[in-house]
Amino acid sequence: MSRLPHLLIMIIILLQPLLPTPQAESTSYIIRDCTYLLAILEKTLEHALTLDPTGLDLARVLANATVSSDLADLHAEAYALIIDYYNAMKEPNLTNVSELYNLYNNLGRIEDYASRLRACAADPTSASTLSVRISFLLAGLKSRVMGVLDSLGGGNSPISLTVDTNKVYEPGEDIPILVSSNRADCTVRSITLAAGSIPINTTPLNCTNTACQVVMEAPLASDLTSYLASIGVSPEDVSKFTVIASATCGGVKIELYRLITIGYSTPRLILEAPATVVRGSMLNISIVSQSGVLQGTVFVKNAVNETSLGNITIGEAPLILSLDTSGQYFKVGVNIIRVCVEAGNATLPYCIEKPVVVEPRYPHVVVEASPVYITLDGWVQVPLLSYESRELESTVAVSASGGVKASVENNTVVSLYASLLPVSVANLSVEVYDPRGYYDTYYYSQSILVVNISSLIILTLIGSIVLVLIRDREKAFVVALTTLGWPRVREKMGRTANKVEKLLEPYTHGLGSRIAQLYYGVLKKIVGRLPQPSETLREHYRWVVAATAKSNRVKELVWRFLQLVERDLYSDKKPSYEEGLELSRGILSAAEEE
Amino acid sequence: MRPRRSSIILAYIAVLWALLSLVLLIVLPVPQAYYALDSGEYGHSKLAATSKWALSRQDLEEAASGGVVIVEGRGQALTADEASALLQDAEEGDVVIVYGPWNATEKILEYIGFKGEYLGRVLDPVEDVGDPGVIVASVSRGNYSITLSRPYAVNLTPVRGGVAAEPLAFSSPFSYIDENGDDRYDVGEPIGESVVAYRVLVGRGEILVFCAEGFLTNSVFDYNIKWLTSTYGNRTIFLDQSWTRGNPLLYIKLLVYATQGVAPIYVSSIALVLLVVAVYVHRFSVREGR
Repeated sequence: MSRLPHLLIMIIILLQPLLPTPQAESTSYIIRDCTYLLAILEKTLEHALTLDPTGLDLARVLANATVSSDLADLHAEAYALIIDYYNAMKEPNLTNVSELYNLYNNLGRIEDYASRLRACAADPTSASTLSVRISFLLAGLKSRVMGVLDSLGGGNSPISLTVDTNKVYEPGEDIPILVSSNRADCTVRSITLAAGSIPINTTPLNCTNTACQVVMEAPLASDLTSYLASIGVSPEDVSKFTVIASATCGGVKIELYRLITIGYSTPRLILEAPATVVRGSMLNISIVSQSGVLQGTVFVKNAVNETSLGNITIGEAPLILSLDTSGQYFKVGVNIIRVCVEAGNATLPYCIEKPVVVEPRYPHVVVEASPVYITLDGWVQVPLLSYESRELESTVAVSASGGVKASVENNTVVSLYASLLPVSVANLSVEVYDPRGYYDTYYYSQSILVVNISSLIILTLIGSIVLVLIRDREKAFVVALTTLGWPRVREKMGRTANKVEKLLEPYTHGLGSRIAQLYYGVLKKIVGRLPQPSETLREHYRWVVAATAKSNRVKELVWRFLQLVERDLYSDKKPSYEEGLELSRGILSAAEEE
Repeated sequence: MRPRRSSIILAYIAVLWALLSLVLLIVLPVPQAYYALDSGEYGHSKLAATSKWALSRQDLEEAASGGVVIVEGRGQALTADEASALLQDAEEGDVVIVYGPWNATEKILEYIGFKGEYLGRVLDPVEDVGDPGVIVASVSRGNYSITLSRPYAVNLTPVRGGVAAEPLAFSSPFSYIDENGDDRYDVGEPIGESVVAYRVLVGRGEILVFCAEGFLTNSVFDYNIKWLTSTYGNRTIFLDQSWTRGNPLLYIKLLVYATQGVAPIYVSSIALVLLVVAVYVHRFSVREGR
């Protein structure tokens, strides 16, 4: 059997050359270096600005590159936009004006991507130079798209659309539009004002004249609700609208586009609220509008839900609202106060938020726990003082025990069993709660030392008894402890003691020394008890002979005899047997005289 | 006279130990970059399986006939004698492929007549094979892509008249030179294509210097063997392992494993038979002892 491991090791080693070598698997590398992504984006945009085909190649590859999951969506979107830009700019014509317009609006997403990359770059300061460069390149791209949009629908179109594209229209302002045709078979069917791809207002026409005048109204901000809900851009970007003239010329549908600018503004709101408030108290918030009178709604949002607290009208005078934080809408912890105003004529819908931490409302109670409990029986008393008029409940527990429930009044003392052990460290925990829910639950915890005097006494007694029982059997006890398992110690101890005694039997019989045997014979006659296996001759003399013999003469002679025995047992110079015989006689005669 | 049992056991242990040492020496892998028997990332076991080995300069001189490809992938710089011999081989019409860390390629470039300036490692997070340090490069001649492990960019300046190095392979436009060696892109580091291999015409032959630690090494061998066989398919490939002569362990293993030497499976079989015999003798002697 002992050779088997050798054989196995050898076989494994010998067969090793036949085993196939592991092949490294190539996995897709996840790009996490934000500075690199920023640099390669800049490089791609540089090519895109000049419509260098290299930029399109780069964008196509990068669109499929694997980046970290938090960037993946924006990354893919940014490069898809660059590819769209190349496609749209390749041969701009009337049919892709809508795409161009969407592209113009969405190019801002690339800037969002760049901002995100700058934020996660290892060195944001140096990365900001790249970010600035990207903003510049994006402005160039936008300008290029805008230029193409402006130039579309020019000389080749059978119809012409005239609108002031340089003016910034006020919401609600009239927008004069002139549409004309130089062909008799052209009929202008409609003029549409669209935000992105969503039509805001359409004026049907059946204009076959050479020039038709239409006046459309710049939409109020409140008319853009559905559009704003459908787009991902921030309200600040809402300014570009499209005027679309739809015509039919010789059975062919033609659309002509113009971009106009309408000036909307974002409301300026000031929301003031304290950073913290105790639950149950009133939370006073102040709301001011610096953009005229606005209608809005106040919400409170926390980890559980979001609730509308009601509609408000905000003006330049501060609107003070007192909110009751004891209600179900507020939760202990962080609560977000959100004020949203509806769109006005020129102002877009807008929301402002402020976090408020609602702190718990604890009852005024004091737990007078002592760090050390010296108890007679292991029971500890925990005094609970309450300064509240309402009745409170409590649960007091020590360590992992089930705990004791008790009502807390002015001065309540809760007793509970802490520990059976003579000395122990435990954790005292107290929960004081309000059954009616007005107060939040108060938690108290402290580490305590518990002394159980009863257990201590019992343990001392048991220890003493055990010591008495094992006295003179120390060796057997230790041998038993070290050789036997604990559960069997008691059972085996007696047997082990016998074994030890048997083992030491030659020593008790003097290791074959005749003088020692003579000494044992004398001891048997004068004191009765012979040395035990666990004691030396001198120990026996001190504890037995010296304590039993009354005559100093006897003690002296026995001591000399003991020394003689030791010489016979351990020394090279052995005494004569006669000397021992003489001493034994002397001891026996001295003992008789005594 | 019957041998004593203790002496038989001693003999058994000695035989077993000798056998074990021999088998361990031959069979256990030796992790040594550019070694023909190393199956690790930078070993040459894949190339060694499909090429001839030159265990000494003499082997190489005999084999070089103006029509072979000599692969010089190594971790240490060539000595002046080695470089001069390689130049001689190239002048006679051989193709010498050199790659390894910069201290190795720098020396051969010096002997050819160039002063090289190390610019930094070339990393490519996009056109890679799962590691930015293992890049895909395009070969200017033919429509081939090769894969280089731990490539680096160098700037070559001729210091001798009549020598010219033409770029042979470029990294992708997504690569950059990690100038400060921190394994990430820092603003200002060059981004875009870099030359990662040069071709130098020497006499009737040519020396191809791949600025990379791994080219025909195991981890990228499968990607590059197609280019090698397509470009120099009619030539015999010699893997130069003469540098192992300085290390007896590596050299002895090569001698055993060389195609002209003893096949490893044969050695293993002999060792197994010897083991069985040893076990049998031991058991017999134990029975006799009883």
